[in-house]
Amino acid sequence: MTLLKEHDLGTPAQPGPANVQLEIDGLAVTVPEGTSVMRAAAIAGIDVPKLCATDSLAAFGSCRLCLVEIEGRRGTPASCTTPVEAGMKVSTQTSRLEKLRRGVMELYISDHPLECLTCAANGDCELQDMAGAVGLRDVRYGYAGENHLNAEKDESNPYFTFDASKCIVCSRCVRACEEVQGTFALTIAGRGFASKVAPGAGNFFGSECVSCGACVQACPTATLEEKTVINLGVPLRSVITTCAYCGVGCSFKAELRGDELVRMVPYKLGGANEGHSCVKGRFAWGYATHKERVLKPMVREAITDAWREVSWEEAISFAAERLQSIQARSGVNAIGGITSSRCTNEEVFVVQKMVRAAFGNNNVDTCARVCHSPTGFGLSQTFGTSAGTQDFKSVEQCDVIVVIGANPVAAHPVFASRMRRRIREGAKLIVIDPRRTELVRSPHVEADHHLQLVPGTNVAVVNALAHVVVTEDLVDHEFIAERCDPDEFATWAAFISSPEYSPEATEQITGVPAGELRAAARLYATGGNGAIYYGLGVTEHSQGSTMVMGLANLAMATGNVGKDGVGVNPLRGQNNVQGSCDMGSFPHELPGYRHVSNDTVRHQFEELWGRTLDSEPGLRIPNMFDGAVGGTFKGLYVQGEDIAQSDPNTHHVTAALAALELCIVQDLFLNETSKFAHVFFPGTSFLEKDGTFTNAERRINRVRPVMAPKNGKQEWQIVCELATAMGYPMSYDQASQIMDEIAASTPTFAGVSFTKLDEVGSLQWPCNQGAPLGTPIMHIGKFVRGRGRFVETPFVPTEEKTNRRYPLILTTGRILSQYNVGTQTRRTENVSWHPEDLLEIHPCDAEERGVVDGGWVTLESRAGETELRAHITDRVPQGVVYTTFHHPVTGANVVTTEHSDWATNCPEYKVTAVQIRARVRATAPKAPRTARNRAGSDLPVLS
Amino acid sequence: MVRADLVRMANQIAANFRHHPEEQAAGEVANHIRMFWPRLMRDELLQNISTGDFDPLVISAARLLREETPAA
Repeated sequence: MTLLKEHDLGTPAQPGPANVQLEIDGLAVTVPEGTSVMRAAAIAGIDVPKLCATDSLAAFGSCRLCLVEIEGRRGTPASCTTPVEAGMKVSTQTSRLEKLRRGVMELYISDHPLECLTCAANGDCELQDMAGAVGLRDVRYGYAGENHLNAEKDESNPYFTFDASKCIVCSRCVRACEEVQGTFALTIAGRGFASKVAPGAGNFFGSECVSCGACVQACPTATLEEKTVINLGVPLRSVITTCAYCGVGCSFKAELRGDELVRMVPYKLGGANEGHSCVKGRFAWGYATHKERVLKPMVREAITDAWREVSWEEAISFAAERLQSIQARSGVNAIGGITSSRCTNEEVFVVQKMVRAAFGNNNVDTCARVCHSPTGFGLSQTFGTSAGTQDFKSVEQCDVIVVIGANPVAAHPVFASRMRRRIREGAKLIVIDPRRTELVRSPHVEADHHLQLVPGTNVAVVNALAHVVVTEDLVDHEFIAERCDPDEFATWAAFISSPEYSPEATEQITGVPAGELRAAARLYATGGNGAIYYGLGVTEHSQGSTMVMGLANLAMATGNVGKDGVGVNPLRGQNNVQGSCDMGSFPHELPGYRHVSNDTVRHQFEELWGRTLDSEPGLRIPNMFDGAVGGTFKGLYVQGEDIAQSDPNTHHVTAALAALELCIVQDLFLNETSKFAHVFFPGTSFLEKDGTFTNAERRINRVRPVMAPKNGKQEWQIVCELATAMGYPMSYDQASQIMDEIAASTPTFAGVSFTKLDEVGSLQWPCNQGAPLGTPIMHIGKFVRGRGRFVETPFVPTEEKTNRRYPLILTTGRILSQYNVGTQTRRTENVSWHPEDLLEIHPCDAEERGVVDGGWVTLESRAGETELRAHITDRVPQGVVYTTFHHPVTGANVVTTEHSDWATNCPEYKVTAVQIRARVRATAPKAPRTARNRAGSDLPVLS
Repeated sequence: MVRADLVRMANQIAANFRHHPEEQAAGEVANHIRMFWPRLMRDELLQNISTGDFDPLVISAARLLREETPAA
């Protein structure tokens, strides 16, 4: 494949109400009303020269290169800012225009270094292209006069440079930062000849810049240039693939020279991101070739032994023999497996198939257990399917946006940019979060209501919102009559109308002022299209599932389901959380969310796989840990998840792992879990995988191999070989055959194939005979389950209580530059922004404890203690502290507890009672310690 | 598994169905355990149900589960 350059139409599409016909250079063109002349010409195949225009940004009209002549009009208007009119006759190439354009280009070039042959952007520079397009042959003005050729270069950002000497001040970077990203980090400082792009005060690294790369992408010259391009050269070929980070699932062009990746550029036609990116997807891919990556299989008899590199054959037989031996001695249920949301649908599907068919049990679970399992449960109970209702584009039609327990600016940044754009256009915003997140107040975005609740009181808040809707009769009765079960609605309405759920009553529990809550409820119910977006601040609670059902109740009661601009939308943490759940990773469900006790479905898989399948739910991850500690569960296969770092109550997890007779880890790196492993199967990075990811909007995207697997095998091949070695032959010639098997067995995927994905780009499930091109918005006209089901949602307080010894509540989250437990991002330059996890603490709580900003503190809970530096900020309310969990040295999960969601056992990461003690750091910080070894008699859990 | 964890998890399920009339609540608890708990945990629950720490709703639910569990 050659380098893919999308056709730049110059200005954004204008979905006008009617089409307009005009004539450009004698060609008849029909375009929507409001389209620019420049775009109309480009659609007709006539590219008008341009520099300040690009179709990702609103027309600006500053470069004066896109001038055209229009019959009957005076002068030479800029085609980018001139809208089409019916009957208009436009000329884009006349001698007058040519002369004008050459004159403009001459001025640009007269203040631009003429070093094209040695410039990093040679061959990929619009200024160079335009000089050719306008036929510039000489420049009359020399360099003797005042110029910018010696302007200082800013190399402070780890990923790109800003070479002001090459800047033509077209403002594309500034506008990209504003319009596309919404950060407003850049400006044009000075006037006239002194005008220059300025990243606030100082340099790029020290500015508000979030390194999304939008400015670099927008730059028409080499002014903003990726350092990898400078070092390696302009890329020569492209492969379209999908990002390996968060649940937005951005499409990228991986641009290479030979087999060497030069840069990742967001793909304009990617449905999830439409050409935008964040610092992780755009730049933080260096981990894939990091020197610490393990490429050879390894085994060892005991976890105290050194690893021994072996052949694939030996590693596979080593693992298979021991798994079979365990089953022979301890029973068929003594082993199990965990799938990963960082792996493709195909890789996950074969793991659950291996567990069910080769292991002969349903002991398969997934890392979604610890993040969005309550979403699956809650939305299934109410709507009938375990997925969000909308596509991301739907946010463009929102009138009221409710963000609950999510910080998309940090965790789902590309979607956050879309959301902020809609808010800047006038949509109202309600944020429900204990912290003052970036959304609450940022440039040109301010929440209309911030309900700053006490952690652990989500359900009380959502019940109070619903109470207002019902008791003030803000209910959409027509929607309920047509779409929902009337008896269940009546029961629910009576339940939620109880005085105990009034805002005045819940204020004592939640800390949210009743008046503010009532105003927010009225706004959501009456403000037009209301959409709910939520994250792990909803699910990772002891009532995570109840809260998801509460949100669904609220949306149904107000008629905010089943159309554009509304819905209940989980923001998934990892790129393939949705997909790994779809693929049957939960121990009670076969692919497509069908219970293992469903004889019809189970028999279908039995016929397909040639094995009798267990009709009983298998072990969840916590059950596996309990079984390991208790001696009944002895062998575990872990695909791409670092459970020793990511799962709660580290002491319990590591005790379980240490008790296993056999632990198999399949990953890129030796991680915390691999310290307890006996077999290490090296995995593949997303650049080597061949398969699909399914993002938070149910969009199935192709993950195409950019390079050959560095470990020598696709991950699904490893799983097939392990299953085969255990006596269950599994083999596929290529990944597309696995998708074919998924499509053949899973109704919502019936219409999906690699061929079709290659044809149409992406598909949102359900994709089947009824919806051959997929389903961007669900529940239109009818819920998947038939009628929407209202579920009563009593508030049951968490058992994790604060007291005099542990008076503060710890809650956890993410930061923009890091991802999950940091396995990937810690091995990139992203550590420049976040070298360590910090503890956010309110100034009053800090003062009371003698904590200073940047000082070391001990964070202690009932489960354990750890040490980290404090960051004093009023972003957290008094009584609440907050930290991230990106660095293993912090061991944040040493302090989290065993409490979990009542329905799914999703851990209650968001509520841990803690105490903070200031520590005078005379020596190195102590390693995290569990409650059991707090006295120091045992070795630290994490070393 | 540790008995205290078994008690905590079962009682937590009961707490989230307590708003229903007693008979319905017991049925919901039993159904939830049947749908999501592995056989091993259900057996442990039934073996330990008379030890005194369980919510009355769990005890009622266990009765329903026991009725449908074939004798070993």
